[in-house]
Amino acid sequence: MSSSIEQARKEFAEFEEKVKRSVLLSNLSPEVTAAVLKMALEQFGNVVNIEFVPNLTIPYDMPQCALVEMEDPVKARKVIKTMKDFPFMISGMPRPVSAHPAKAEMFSDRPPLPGRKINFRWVDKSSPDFEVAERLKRLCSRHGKESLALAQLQLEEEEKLAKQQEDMVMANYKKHEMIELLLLDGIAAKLAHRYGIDLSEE
Amino acid sequence: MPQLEESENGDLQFQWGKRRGVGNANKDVQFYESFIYDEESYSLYDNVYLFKEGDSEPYVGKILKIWEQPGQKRRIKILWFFRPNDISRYLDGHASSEKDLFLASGEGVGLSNINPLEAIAGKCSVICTLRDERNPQPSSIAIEKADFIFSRFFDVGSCTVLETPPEAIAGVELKYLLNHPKDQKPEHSVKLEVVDSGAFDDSFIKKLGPVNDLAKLRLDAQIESDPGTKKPTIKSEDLDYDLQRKARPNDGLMKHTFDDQETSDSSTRKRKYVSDEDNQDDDSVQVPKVSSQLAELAEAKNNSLDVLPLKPNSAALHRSRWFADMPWKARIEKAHHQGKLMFLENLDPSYSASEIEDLLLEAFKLDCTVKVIPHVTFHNPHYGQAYVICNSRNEATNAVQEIDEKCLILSDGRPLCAKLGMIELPQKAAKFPGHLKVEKGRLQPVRIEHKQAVATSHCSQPNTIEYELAMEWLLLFEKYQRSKEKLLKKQHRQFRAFISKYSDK
Repeated sequence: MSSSIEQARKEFAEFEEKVKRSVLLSNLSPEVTAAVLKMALEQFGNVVNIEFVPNLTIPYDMPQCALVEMEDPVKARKVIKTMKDFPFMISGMPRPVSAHPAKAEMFSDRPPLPGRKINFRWVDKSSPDFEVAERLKRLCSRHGKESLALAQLQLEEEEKLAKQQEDMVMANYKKHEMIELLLLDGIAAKLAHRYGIDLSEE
Repeated sequence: MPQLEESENGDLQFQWGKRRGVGNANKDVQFYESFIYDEESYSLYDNVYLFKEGDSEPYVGKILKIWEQPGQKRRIKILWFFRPNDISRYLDGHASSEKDLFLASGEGVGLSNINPLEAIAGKCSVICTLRDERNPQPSSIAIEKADFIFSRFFDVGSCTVLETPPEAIAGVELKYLLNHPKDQKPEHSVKLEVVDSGAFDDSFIKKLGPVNDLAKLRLDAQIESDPGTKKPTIKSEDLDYDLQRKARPNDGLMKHTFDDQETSDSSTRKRKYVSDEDNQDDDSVQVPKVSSQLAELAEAKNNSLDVLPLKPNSAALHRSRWFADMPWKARIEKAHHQGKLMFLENLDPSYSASEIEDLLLEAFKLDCTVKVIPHVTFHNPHYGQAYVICNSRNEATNAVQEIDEKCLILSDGRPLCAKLGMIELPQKAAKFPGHLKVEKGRLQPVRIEHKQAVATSHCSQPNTIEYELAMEWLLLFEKYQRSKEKLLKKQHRQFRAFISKYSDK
């Protein structure tokens, strides 16, 4: 028996080490693959493992998340710091990737806490605790909905921002295009000649 | 008439098929023609996968003999196929492809082995494309669909590749080793396959001489009855087929998908845990091509808790290959369609899958697989959630009902919440706001190629417009973080208030 506790402890310790070395990358485009991530992060150090976290419960279109395990915690911190100081973009711009230090709860296959046993008890309708439990259940569901609502709001805001930026960039681009065309066409040159302006300063 | 014997092999379903005869020297040994193992039926001369500890790739072999010794020891004699990699030294001048196999022939080390039946990891489809009158010619569709193709042989004695087939291998006539007159389908519904009954009779067994030999696994001396080949020693230096299976379960679990009709009580089943490993969980659904599946499985295999010889972990391994190599999402969807899926909420966020499984086993006598939902961006870190795949629809519905009607309170005072089925997820490919694309390629086009990856990922420098745009995004993210924190604080207060209302906590 004690050996299994020992084993569990060892496993858990290893897991914690792994967590310290790992980085959670979120706001990844759906086109990003493990290969892309690996190449992108190799500049920070050796990438040991990449695992994408699938979305199993949120009923909205979300960007991807991935858990990246680096060689050691120092490199992991470097990744996080760099991405905080400079917006880092993968496979597209300008939406940057966010990096957070990993936590145990982010791993769905985490080992159990050694020595912990979950106790439970059944509560009957007659007991007053039943009412409390029922309300707690409802609270859980309400909180869940609140979080989802916040998430939805955030996603909407993101779309708005994206649209706004896109519009701005397109407008600028069109302006540039127009100017280029003009230059190409020679109209600008002709006008300059007409008005005696020297264009060569550009 | 096929005799059905039900034998409990730990967690895996097993049933013998048609009997053949008893051993010559040892009458306690019973030979069979077929059996059903873990819901697949296998017959003589079927091609199967076998796993070797520590190897990422499975081995492919052909079942030559099946028997059971006293003490419920089931054995199979396997004739090996070689992959081109295995015999690369001797392959000069012979072209080969990934799907190619070479059937071992001749005599010597590496021709065949006796293994416990539980070493089988699954059925494999191998089509023989040999142009020979004894070989039913396969259609091009069959060739395409097959896992492997073989047309050549490798003589283990002379270590040479043979293009022309030998008359017999390991005492079995060639015609039995080639394509079946009926197609070999890897997926069987549970039925007993009686292979060409005319072909096999006891005289077949008597032809072969006495046994000697053997393999590395715990076989006792009772094997004399095995009409073996005449190789006395199969030393295992190069080819160590000590097949022990290590489980690669996704979440330390042994799952079992029984038919709903079966009313076996899962409580008597022992469950063994193997430590969790990070399982590469790509979101893309994988076509069941063996090598890619196994490459995944093989990652970081080393720290297994229990290396159980044969049995129960093999169940997990087997299952994990045939079902769970579907990534979790597909598994959950499948269970949802079958009505076996439960969704649990209001768990402590630090619970792990095995703890939840234990809990369910104790509280409901429920044998199941749990997938804990990881907490990332939009998840509420105060509440843990998990999907539970049960054995049957009934179990799932009953459990949910019970949890609903009565209250199951866990250690920290939270009552368990459960729902049937899974949450609706958006079906279409996720759109991703925020990446700008301009036709003329002004802004960097999105490229996914490997070598371009570095070019498409970069840190933005402060003097670009891109930087400014990125800043706007970062602002938005920060806003979300702050709002979330505020919300969580409030929720936590509410939660505390309720918990304190318990009378005896």
